[in-house]
Amino acid sequence: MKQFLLAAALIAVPAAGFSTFQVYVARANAATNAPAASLGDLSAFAGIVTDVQGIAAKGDLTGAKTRIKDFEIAWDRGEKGLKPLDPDHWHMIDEAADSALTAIRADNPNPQAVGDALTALQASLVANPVVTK
Amino acid sequence: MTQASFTIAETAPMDPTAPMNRVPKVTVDFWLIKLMAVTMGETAADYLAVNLGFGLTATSLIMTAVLIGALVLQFGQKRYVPWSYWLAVVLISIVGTLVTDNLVDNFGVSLVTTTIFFSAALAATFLMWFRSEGTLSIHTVYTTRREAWYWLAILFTFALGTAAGDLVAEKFGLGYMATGVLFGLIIVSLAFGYFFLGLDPILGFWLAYIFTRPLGASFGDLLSQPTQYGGFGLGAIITSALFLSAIIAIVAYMTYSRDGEEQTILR
Repeated sequence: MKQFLLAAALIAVPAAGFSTFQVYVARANAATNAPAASLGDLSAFAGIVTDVQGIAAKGDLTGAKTRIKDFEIAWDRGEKGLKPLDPDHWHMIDEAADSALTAIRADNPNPQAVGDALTALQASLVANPVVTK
Repeated sequence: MTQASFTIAETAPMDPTAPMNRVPKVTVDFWLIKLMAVTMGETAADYLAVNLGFGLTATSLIMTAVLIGALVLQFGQKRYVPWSYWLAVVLISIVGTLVTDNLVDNFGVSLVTTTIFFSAALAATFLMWFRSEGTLSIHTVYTTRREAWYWLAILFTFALGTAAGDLVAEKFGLGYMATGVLFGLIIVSLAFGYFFLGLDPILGFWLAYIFTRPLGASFGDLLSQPTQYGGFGLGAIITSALFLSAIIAIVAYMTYSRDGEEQTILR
């Protein structure tokens, strides 16, 4: 029992110290009017989606499937760096991207569904989300 | 008969020499290679799932099959052989990451749930291990049953470390840098406890084993993530290849030095 208490203390002390430091830094940032949480410049992602939309609009859903793979790779590659910046917005885009990928990769993709999903994905990228917690 | 032969008889009845431990002694190179195996597990899992295009589910199934093959090899050794032991650890690291990613991404299980679930699973494993063997010692793993407990615990520490690390990073919006610092501090604190405050070696070992998972993963992310997100931009392939080479080099050295081998000792 004593051992478990010792272990708990050994974990809690650095965790508490770290949290205190984080809160202190957050306060300092808030005081110096740092920008609110934001994923930053997403134009590279929006550019790929615009491409996919253009290809899909011509009826070339196979081409759209190839191009959206670039989006998927870039998006997944950036996950670890992007997500912490604004987790809520990140999840919103991630869900929209999943829907778009599912629509395009369906066995018989429905052009209407693909178009709608891409529009939603594009909107999620530009939107400054108002997330209800 | 003397005291000494009585001690040996307790470890291994009817055997003049105590059997070899099937898992390695915990040395500096043990932790070094464990940390690198974790780092590689994280980046290789990302690479396999994202770049190869098999998708998360297919990748998980393939890697699980490979892991089972590696474990069959490892159990067949009946003693500590560095390449087969560390191959199993690297694969457990990859599969552990994939399992957690799968639960979260495909099945929508929250990180809070997975963290609690794997904590409970690990605690249950230790409890049953202790009930069955009367010890949790990692120095007396000389039967297949004990080795099975050992690997089951290892699997859950990886899954728990992944879930807990992701949970902390996500809930508190910490980047991989901050996550790495946090878990690094916890490990330093545990080491301090072990060396100076009498923290139990077995408890300390397993706790450090859990926390090196998020520490190694943060380090892997730092190296592989694109520079615009504060990483070193090495990408998943180069990072994985780099660590794989280092792991192979250390395993070669371990095979040569044989310093991880030990005879079972009574605790």
